[in-house]
Parts: sequence; structure tokens; C-alpha cells
Amino acid sequence: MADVSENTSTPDPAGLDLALLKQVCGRDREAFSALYCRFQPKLFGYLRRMLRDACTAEEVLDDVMLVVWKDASKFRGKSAVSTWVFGIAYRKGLAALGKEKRYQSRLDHSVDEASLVGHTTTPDNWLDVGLQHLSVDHRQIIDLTYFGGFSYDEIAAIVGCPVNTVKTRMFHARRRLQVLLPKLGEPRVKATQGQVK
Amino acid sequence: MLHAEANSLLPWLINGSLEHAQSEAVQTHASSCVICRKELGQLRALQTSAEQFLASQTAPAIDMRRINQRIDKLATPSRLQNLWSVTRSNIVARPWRFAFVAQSAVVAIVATMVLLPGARAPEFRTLSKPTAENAQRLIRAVFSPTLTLAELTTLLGEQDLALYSGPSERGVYTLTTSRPLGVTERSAIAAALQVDDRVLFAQPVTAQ
Repeated sequence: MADVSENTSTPDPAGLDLALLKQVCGRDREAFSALYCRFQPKLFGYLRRMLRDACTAEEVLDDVMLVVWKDASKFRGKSAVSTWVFGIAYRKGLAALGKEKRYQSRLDHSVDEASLVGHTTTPDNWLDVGLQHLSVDHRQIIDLTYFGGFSYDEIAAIVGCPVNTVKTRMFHARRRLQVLLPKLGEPRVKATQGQVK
Repeated sequence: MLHAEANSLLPWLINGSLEHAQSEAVQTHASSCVICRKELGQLRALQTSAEQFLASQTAPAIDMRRINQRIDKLATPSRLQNLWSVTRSNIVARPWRFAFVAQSAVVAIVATMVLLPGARAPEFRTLSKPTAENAQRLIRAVFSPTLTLAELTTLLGEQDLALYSGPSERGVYTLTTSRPLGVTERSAIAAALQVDDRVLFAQPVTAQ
């Protein structure tokens, strides 16, 4: 693996990503391997949640990282490397969804809540199941916020829309989840609410 | 901070991505707003669930063989790419030479199209246009508009003629003899026709 600690005095993740990407610009395969290892778990999780299929997610992950290899020199540093990479993943993921017709485009918001009754959920997947009842646009905002930990500025850059659109989508997604999630995980929500000061 | 603005930022307060000042302002508002406090609880539950879900998920073992193969493929361009690369560099280095070659190629193509006998457009012919073979039988004639069909049949029968085609837009008939004749013989027949007042014009057809 590439040793970037000598090249950068900033050990923070963003600084490390940037240092690795700079080495990738110079066609450094070891730096690319290090960058791949850093992004693989998060990117795989993100793509698997988006595509609902592990094999496709792995393929798209390679597509994303190949773009990173080819276009590393095009990175202008206007955002964090992770934002740039997730932006590529978002577009590749949407393209894969379209190709495989897994993409239930802009899912009807009038989805039948009754369909959730009797839905088998486990303590681990009730949120994941709930998210599947959101439109792709809304699901992405929730995913990138709660699973990805991105700020609204970063999400706007990833998705390629204005910040206010991100906030609006989040507002509608929250309203939708307020209806959906109690049917899936009401006990857990209530339990957590009890901890709020 | 207004309620609407603070409320819209709650998810990012929970995931810890707000800037310090913004975070302080949202927290201050939430401490005095029942609605935001309630929503904070719900959003914390979401965040906790997301973290639990992430912890339960495992990514597959890292296998870089496929992507390394794809990168290797990128590094070794195909023969076609090599050829194009050489051609492109030649065009960039010597544009005038490329322009001369391209112009010569265009001239060669046009010259081939013009000079090749097979490339000529087919000659246009009408049905009544005489050929060398049937020109020896044809006579052109114009008849009086008062001439009836029976009179025309009689007139042609007297001279052993038959109708070949016509009338044209200008009222010209093409007549044919029963056998090939020379110009002199057909001129005699034409002259015989013109004796009749109902024949306005008669002349043998000559091959072109």
C-alpha cells in the first residue's frame, strides 16, 4: 500500500484521500489500491442499498473506481474527494438502475401503508425496508445523510442539485417516514424518544 | 433562527455535519421548541437505526483483480487506437500535408466517378425516340383536326401505313411503313400524303 503519511502532514481522512488521489494522478497503482480499500466498504454499502443487489453493486463499484482512476486529474478540489467519488457513484448507480429496470421511477407517494402491515422486519433492517417506500430522490437524501454522514452542501454536490432542493427533499422524506416508520419500528422509535432531554 | 430554518437543519444536526455556529443556533432553538424537540427524538432514532444497520452489514472481501485487469486494458491500447494515435499526431504536426493528402484523395475520387464509363448516368429515352433500326420505317405527320378516325384509317391504308404512336401534345402522329424503306421512298410516301388537304404536314424520320 502507498505510504502517504510522509507526503501529508494532515492525518485527517479528507487529507489522506486527497494525498492518495494526487498520487493516483501520477498513475500510482499502490495509491489507487489504498484509495480503493478506503472507499470500498462505504461505496459498496451505498450502491447495494441503491441497487438492491450485491453483484450489481460490486460491478458498479468497479465502474466508479475506474472513473476515479481515469479522471483523477480532473478533480479540481472544489469539494472533498469523498463527495466527488460519491457523486460518480450516484450517477453510475442511477444509470445501472435504469439499465436493469430495477428503478421504480419516482415511486408513487400514495403508496399503500397497509402493505407494510405484516412486513417482516428485523431490528437491523426496518429502516432499510421503510426507505424502499420512498422515491429514489428522497431515499438518496436520507441515505447520504444518515448512512453516509454527508452535510447538505455535500449532498447537493453529489446529487447535482441546489442546496434548497436537498432541504426540500429531506422535508418531504421526513414527513413520509413519519407515517411509514412507526408501522415498522414504533417500539424502537418510542424507546429512543424517551432518551431525548 | 426561525423555526422553519432550524427544523430543516435537524437531520444534519443529528449527523454532526453542521458548522459549529449553525449547530449552536439550531440547538438553542430546539431547546425552546416542542415540535423540534419531538422531531429530534425521531431523527435520533433514525440515526441510531442507520448506524445499527451499517454495523450489521459487511462488505465483500476486497478483490482488485477485475479492476486491475480493466486498468491494464486501458494502458495497452488496441492496434486501431495506435493507428489513430499516430494519424492524429501526424495531422497535428503537419496540418498542410494532411490537407494536401485529403484534397488529392477527393480529386481522385471525383475523377474516377467522372471518367469511368460505367459511372455515367444512363441515357434518357422516350418511347417514340427513333432507333437506328426503326427509323427506316417512320414518318411524322400532322392531320387536320376535322379528320375522322375512319378517314384516317382509310388514308393510312392507301399508303400501306400504320399508326406507330401519337398524337403528341402538338398533334404530331408517328406512322410506320410495313417494311424498312429508304429516305427517298418514305419522302415519296410523305409527299403523297401531303397531296391530301387533310394532311397538314408529313416528313420521314431520320435516325439521330
